[in-house]
Amino acid sequence: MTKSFLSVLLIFAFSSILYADVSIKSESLQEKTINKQTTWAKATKVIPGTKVRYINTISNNGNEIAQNLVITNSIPKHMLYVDGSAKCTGVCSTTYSLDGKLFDVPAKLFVTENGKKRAAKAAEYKAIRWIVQTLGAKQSSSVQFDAILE
Amino acid sequence: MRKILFITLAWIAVCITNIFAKGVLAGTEISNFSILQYEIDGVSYTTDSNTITDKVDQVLDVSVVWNDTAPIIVSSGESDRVLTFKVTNTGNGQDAFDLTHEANASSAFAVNNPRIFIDTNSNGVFDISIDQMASSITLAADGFSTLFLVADMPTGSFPSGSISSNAIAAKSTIGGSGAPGTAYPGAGTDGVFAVDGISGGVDKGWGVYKMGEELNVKLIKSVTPSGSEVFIGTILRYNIAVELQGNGSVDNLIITDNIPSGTTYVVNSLKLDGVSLTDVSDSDSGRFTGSSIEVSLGTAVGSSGSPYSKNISFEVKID
Repeated sequence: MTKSFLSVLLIFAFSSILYADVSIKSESLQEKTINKQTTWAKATKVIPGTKVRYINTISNNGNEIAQNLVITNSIPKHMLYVDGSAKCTGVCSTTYSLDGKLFDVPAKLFVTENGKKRAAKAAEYKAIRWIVQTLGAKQSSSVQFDAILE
Repeated sequence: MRKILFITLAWIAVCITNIFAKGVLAGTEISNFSILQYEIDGVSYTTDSNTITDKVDQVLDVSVVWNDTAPIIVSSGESDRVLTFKVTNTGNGQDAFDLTHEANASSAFAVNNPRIFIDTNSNGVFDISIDQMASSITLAADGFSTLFLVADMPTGSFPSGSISSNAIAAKSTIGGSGAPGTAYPGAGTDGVFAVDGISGGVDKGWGVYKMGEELNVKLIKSVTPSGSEVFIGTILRYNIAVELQGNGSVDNLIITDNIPSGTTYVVNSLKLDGVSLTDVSDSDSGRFTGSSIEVSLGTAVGSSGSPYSKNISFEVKID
């Protein structure tokens, strides 16, 4: 009994290693004007006030469909999230966190200031979470957000 | 094999954010990465992205402000008169700034021998024996210092109210082109990009010297005893108070007074501020010419700060 159980586990593990291969790659871009054309290119000159676009690309390199993909991106220290800038190429739901633990929609994020409760400002978000329902085999998708350097 | 990795993100409950007035320090690393969790056939997996690190680049900015509350009142010929300024590194990284004097060519008068000093002991007051003369200053991001422009006023006559505009100019030595956005690859802290900010990496503050009230020599003469109680043989004591009104200086000031007719000068009675002067022409400042007394006061400087005042006295006997 133990032996077959172990074999099942091994097959599971083996198949996991062989076929479960979704990777995530991050990059940072900034707006650049080259020959009077403004495009988003790799961030190289980041000074206070610069808007940086962070893009996470998920790629399903395997043969099986991946589900419930959750991408959590903590907003870097000194960067202020730009309200409404979170996007995804496919379909996703987006939530935010003020403490990195609890995630919710903006309407449900509150801060207490001087004893009064008020809606949290976008610049106070500490993390973003995108949930993508499915990513087919050999498919890619990306999620992104903008933030400004203090 | 099940592989679930729980990552506990530890956040500081009370986050004290130290926001620099002009932004995050140049050279600071900004790191970003993401965590991906997903399921395949009901099995959960997690993987990390790469970590992106961008270094904060350097903005070059400076501010020079004139700090005196009003034009500094001066008089012609004065030396070492001071205008006070404040220089601030308004960029986000350390920079050394060249300091130079500039004069407004259309001012009524020009100053001589302009020198720039750093307020070395930070007491807000120019101390010639302590403060260092300088042609540049190094300041950290948000760092500042008091500077003094010290200059000599021209000799000659200037109408009261004439002004002279003078600036201290500061220029970043990393950049300082004057054109915002000019980039200097690798020139910033830790080899990051440096770029001239809104100020273009340069600034000037203009200060004003103003010629004060013109100089007037005032003589006030009095005599004791006064009134009608005088007879032959009475000794009269004359006092001449010498005052300067306004600002400025006069060279070779000589006060003379004739001995009144009907009286005879009392020998050796001439005094300056209570000190006896000989009647003969010698090394002291006074003499009796035979018909008048004469006292040489040399150069007299008038300033509202320390009023000039001298007293000359002598005696005569009624014939």
